[in-house]
Amino acid sequence: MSKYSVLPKNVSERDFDAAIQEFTAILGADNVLTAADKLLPYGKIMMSVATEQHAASAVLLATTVEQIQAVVKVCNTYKVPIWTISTGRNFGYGSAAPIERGQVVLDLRLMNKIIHIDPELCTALVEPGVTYQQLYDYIEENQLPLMLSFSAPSAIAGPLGNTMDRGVGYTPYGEHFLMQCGMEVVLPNGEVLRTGMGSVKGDKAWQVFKWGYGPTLDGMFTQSNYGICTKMGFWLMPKPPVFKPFEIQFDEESDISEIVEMLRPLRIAQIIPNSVVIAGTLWEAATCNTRRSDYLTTPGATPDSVLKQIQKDKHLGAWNVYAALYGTPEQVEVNWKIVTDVVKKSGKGRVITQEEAGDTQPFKYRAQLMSGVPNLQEFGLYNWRGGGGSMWFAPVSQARGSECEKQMKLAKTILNKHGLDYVGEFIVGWRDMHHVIDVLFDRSNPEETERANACFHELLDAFEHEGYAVYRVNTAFQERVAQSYGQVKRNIERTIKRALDPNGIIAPGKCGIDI
Amino acid sequence: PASADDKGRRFYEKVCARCHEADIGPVLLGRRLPPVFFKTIARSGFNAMPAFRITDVDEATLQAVAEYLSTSKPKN
Repeated sequence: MSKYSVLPKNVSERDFDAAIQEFTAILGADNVLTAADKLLPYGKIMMSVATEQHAASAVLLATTVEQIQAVVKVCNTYKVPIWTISTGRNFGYGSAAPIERGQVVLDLRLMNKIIHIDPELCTALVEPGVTYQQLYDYIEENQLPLMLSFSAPSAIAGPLGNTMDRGVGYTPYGEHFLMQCGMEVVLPNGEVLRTGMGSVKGDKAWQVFKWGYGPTLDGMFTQSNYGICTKMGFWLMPKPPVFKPFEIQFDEESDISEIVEMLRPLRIAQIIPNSVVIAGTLWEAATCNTRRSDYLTTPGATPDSVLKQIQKDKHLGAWNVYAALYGTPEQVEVNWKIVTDVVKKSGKGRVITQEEAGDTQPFKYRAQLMSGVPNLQEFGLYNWRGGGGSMWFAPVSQARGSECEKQMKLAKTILNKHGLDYVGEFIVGWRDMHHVIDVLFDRSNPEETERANACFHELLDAFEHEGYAVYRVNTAFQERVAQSYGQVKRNIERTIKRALDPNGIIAPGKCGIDI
Repeated sequence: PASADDKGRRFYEKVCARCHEADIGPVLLGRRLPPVFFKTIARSGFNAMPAFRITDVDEATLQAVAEYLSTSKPKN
């Protein structure tokens, strides 16, 4: 019997032994994990596939660029594939587990220096393991006039890993990759590349000017496997004198079209500057600690009559818009009048201010996310059905009412057909929507897990048929989603992969890219 | 210098309490469960609860959290 619970694909035990020995020489024995109990936490997934499919063969803990360069060299020698994680909190997208069974996880969580925060230029430069909580504490302790933007797992997630998967937040800086500036990457051949101005000797503009000269490569390293990001710069929003979060509740599911038409001009003109959210009833209910079992014990989709009852009991809308204003008191007052006039004119929607909402959830956690204060309240979603099953189905949409309504109805029909619920929100960009749907299921129930898997396939197929594709997906479906974007794109991705990583050692399979 | 107990409490309040004191995860304070229970669940994750890797919380800190919880008084 092998001393490893699983080996990397196409790597013999003898070669793996030799690689592990060399990894140990580079990192020290404590930082090379192969024992089953040490690998256990890396195997916790929420996807609708068997845990074994994403089992790691080993985990490497590195803390310096030089160590990573040395690791890459060994990987090339023995053709050992590595899966890089930063904070590894990619819940609903694959968590910390590798895309392919047997890959070695390179865990950079301990590489966690905040290299630089500039309170005047409002920039940061961080290592992969830095968490938003760590940054938040740093900003608070040093009383810096800056504000973070982050995803809901804020307290335990981090900017580098989130941005590498092009994740989003809820402040005016919510489009994280847009606000990213400067990147350092260890290439598959071990060389260290700095993007933008970062490769100019003596440069001071790495975190202030994005493009540099010639091809700008940062985007190429996000959602890909062309290198290992070891440093990332990004812009921070100055803390405004006034922050005014608010909610607008709408009673009917069919109101979605009008809501989107109402919000788009306000967003494009930046009257409302942040990534607004339009959350459906069940998203709202779950994040104020409502469980499906409070209402139903029967399996299957939750009927509309129950949704209406929940709305009534918990004082929720069918749609709940969360947005905020930022600036001086005068600026906020002017824009508040514009917003409330628009709502009044529409004849629909109840405006709820922070004063009215008080300390209640989910308003409180939304206000915190929109002002860069970490919390984990949104994990209440995972209690709606419980059992640890969750996959994000997140199609991109125009910020157009008719499109959003069409997507919502299509998703709900398919989810309900498979006995699951529409738990969705729209994250409103300037012109786009991240239509984020949490496909929640009881993963401890094999039959329901199978249904969730079939459901996710059907969602992808049906949306693709209408010309829609997702912006990001869990590791079990990354090959499938790559197909949505067509063969020409895949060919060029493979050509680049072969050129940069001829041995295919960096995360083969990521976003469907392999040699 | 912080005692082992402080270390456990501090980590609990910074990370675990964000769910376990917010009605998202079950109440842990005052449960009188053995330390090994808390350690096992933290490392493996359990249903809705994510797993915590050795890089999220090292052995000594997790031990301190587990001991803090196993001897903690119920809230209020």
